[in-house]
Amino acid sequence: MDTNFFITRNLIVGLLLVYVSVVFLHVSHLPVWTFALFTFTVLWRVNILREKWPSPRRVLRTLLVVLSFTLLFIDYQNLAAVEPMVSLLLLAFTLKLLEIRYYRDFLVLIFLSYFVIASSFLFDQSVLHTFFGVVSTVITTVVLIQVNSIGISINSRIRLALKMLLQSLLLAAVMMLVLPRLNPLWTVPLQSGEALVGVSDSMSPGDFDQLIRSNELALRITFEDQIIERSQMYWRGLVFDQFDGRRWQRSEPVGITATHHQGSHRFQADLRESFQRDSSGNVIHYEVLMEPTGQHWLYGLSPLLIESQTPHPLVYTQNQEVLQKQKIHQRVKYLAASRLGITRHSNNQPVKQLSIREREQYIALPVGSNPRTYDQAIIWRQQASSDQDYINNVLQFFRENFTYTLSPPKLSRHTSDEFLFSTQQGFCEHFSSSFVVLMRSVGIPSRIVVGYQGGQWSSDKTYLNVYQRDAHAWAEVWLESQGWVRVDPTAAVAEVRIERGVTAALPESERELVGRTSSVYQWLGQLQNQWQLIDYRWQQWVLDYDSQKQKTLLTDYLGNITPLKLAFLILLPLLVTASIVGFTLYRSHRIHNADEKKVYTTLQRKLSRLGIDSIKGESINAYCERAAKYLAQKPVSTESTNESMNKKILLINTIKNEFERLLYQPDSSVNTLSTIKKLLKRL
Amino acid sequence: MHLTWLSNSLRQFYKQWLHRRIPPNQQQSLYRKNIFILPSKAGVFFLVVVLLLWLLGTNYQNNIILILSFLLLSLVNTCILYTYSNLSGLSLQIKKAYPCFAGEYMHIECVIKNNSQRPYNNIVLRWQYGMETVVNVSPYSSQEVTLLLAAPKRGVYKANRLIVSSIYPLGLIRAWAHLDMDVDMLVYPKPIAAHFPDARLHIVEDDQPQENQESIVTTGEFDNISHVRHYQEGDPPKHIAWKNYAKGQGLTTKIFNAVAHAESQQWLDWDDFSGFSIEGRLSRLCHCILQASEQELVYGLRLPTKTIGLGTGKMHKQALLRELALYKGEGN
Repeated sequence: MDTNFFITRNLIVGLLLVYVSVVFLHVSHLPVWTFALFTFTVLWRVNILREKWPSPRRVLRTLLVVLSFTLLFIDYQNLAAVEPMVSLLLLAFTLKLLEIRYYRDFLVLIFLSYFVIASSFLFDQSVLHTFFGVVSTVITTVVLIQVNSIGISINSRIRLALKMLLQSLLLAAVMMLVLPRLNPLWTVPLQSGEALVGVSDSMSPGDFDQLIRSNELALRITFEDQIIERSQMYWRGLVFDQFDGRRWQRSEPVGITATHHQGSHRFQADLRESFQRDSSGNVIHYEVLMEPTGQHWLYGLSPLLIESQTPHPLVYTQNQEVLQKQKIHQRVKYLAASRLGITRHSNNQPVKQLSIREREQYIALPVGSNPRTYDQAIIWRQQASSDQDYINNVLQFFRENFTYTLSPPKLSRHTSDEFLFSTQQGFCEHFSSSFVVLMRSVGIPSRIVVGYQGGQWSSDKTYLNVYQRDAHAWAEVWLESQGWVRVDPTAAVAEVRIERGVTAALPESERELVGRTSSVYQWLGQLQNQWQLIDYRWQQWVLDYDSQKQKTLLTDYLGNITPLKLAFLILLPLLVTASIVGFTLYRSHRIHNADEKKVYTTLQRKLSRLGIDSIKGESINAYCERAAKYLAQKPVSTESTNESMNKKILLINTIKNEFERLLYQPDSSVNTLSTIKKLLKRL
Repeated sequence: MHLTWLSNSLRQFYKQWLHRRIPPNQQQSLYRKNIFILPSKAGVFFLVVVLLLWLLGTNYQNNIILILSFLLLSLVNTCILYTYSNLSGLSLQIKKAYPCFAGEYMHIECVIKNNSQRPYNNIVLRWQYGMETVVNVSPYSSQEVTLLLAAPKRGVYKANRLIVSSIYPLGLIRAWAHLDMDVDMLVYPKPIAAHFPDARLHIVEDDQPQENQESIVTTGEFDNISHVRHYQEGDPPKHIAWKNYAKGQGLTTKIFNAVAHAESQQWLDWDDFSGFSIEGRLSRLCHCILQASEQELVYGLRLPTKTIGLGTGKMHKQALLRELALYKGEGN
């Protein structure tokens, strides 16, 4: 092929199209500067094509390679992860565009683009992305055909590519369903610098604004047998124990905990043991499908025990968080177990006391901040009979004086002082934050918990969608007799928030702040609901198809799986594909022949009606001539019949000529056939 | 030593096997018995890419990537069917093989015929050691192709096999057929410049003015012309009796009296080039024949084995050249 290969304009255009479609698939996670390089290269390539610019010299090419590699290295630091690898591939693709000379250059680029398409699914496996991936695959295949064929129109190339891909689908699907699945042979960590929407590892006033406006999915929960009430749905994520007067965060950064935490096994074992011993039936099991967060922690009810394998090892912390050692960059699915509403105390287990260090940690407040809150807390505590009483009083105070709103006045230095005694408007982050400050001021160990609260049932009511707008912050206080107890001050102010969600809790005017709630866009919301259902099914049926499901499916339909059956299952689609391809290739031929025959029999029928039967072995030509002669010699009675006879003779002669044309000009056979059909009708 | 013997005998065996499987014939149809099909180099590379995709999909337990890898694998399978059917059903026929000189390319006219409704695309035709030609054959049509085949040595021998191949549509699979089209190659010796053996004979008709030649007939110099016969293809235009043609007697050729034209006669003799090897003599004789023909001499050839009498014209030249090609030499 090499010797007959010429680089044409169309080929380059096709390749650029492939390139653009492939880059498009990776837009979401590529470093910004790469786009500058991509645009530059495409521009240059187009200008080479228009013969305005020369091909870049070797020096420039080398310079570009060195430059881009350096930038890539600076950007990622570690080139061994998948993300920089994919960027590397795309860069190679880009730079190769500038020096395409031979047939094999095209092939390399096309094969590379198949690989790049595939690698984009590492980052996104949604229905939409898969659709774009399919489009790219088709484009790439069209160009592969283009590279390997000369003198064929673009339309027939596209048709051929689609036909071939569709015909290949059956075998591919069967292979997917049937071929044994292997476990990962080795793993390369994904790395992502992408900022994802979600609860972050610290909380200061205003942080939740963005979240509550976001309609993106965070979690999908499928309960196994027991469905819990909405007010119980506190999807716990991370615990903050340190306050600087404005911002809440962890005293030990979560990344360090995730990698260096001690005693994780003990916490896990304790939890497992207590669940096993639990006979009250309060342990519930559910499945969580978690969107990538780019963070370490997993969400679940408290206390959380993960019962299935996760891509990376897990760490159970003292605060009853569950962290994954690697950040979560892909959708992760896990089976979880939790125990509802029962404290350790009622389980007849002695409550473990806080150590002095822990106690200090949980009552620490920055010196000099929020003085008014501090003073007021002391007064209230003195009025109360117990810690529990004090807590109830504070909640009562919230309930009576505060409003729940998503657009509260801005807070400056002493956030709690201003919030509690002057603005008195806010949402979860304000309530929980000032509540914990009130607790700590009087020496009650307490902390902030962030996560999600509530959720929305899918349209078929089979699973629960938890959105970013369900993000929530609440408090946990340490009571001597009960241990850590969840207290949600927001619930005191806006009970509806807990029972029916953010939107319901807000005044009418603010509802539009929360995504999807505007009545104008109600139908859009329904559409989104449908879409999410599709997405969920996609996840369930396609993305989660694993060796376990494969086994179930096969045994369901085949009984025992034997190698013979598997071989048969693969062979069958092979045969089916072969026959489909064979059929489409030869079909037109057969139809054509059949058409010719049909036309001929019509001719016979018409002529025999006129009294001329065909003789066996006679050609169409001779038959028509004989018919014409016979009609010409036939005695006619009147002038009008004579005229019609002449017309018939003329028609027969024309038909004869057309049949001849059919024989000698097969290229236009379709047209000729239709002409003959028309003529025959008039005969 | 043994290895070369082994490879030689293997090649021999392959040749015989191919001979039995695809026997020589001037007309051949492509069908499952003579079509071979295997992945091309690009196809092997593609399969490696598919394997890499499968590894990627397996490693990340990514079903979409796995499906893509299976789809591409399945595409290779589909491609086998397409590529095969892009050859199967074609028929080829040798129309004519033009003789040539050693060291040149022989032009072989070949008709490639498509008897079906579907088009055949990008069929690559090539003789072994020949040049590639790519054709598209539309439905129900035939196409005439002139194929070039290197003719390195003089003689009459069978052409190598004709390789009909196609990698259409994806370039991943290559289907091919090695056809023995039963073509006899007639290869004249390569001409090597040489002077005519005798300078005395360098008399050329061109020296005569054009009018004079025309007057041959009119002035009654009939002794120069022995007779007039019907025109045959290859007769020099100068020898056509245009007067007769003008009279409406059709195209006729004047045949000159050989004796009367002694000064334009030329015998080309094997013995005139006694200093050269057999091939050397043949090459020089070849050159002389071409010269004589160009100068429209009346010439003959004397070989040790055969003598061909005096004559002119294209036919005569070809007959002489043929003798040279057929002459038993060291090689033959």
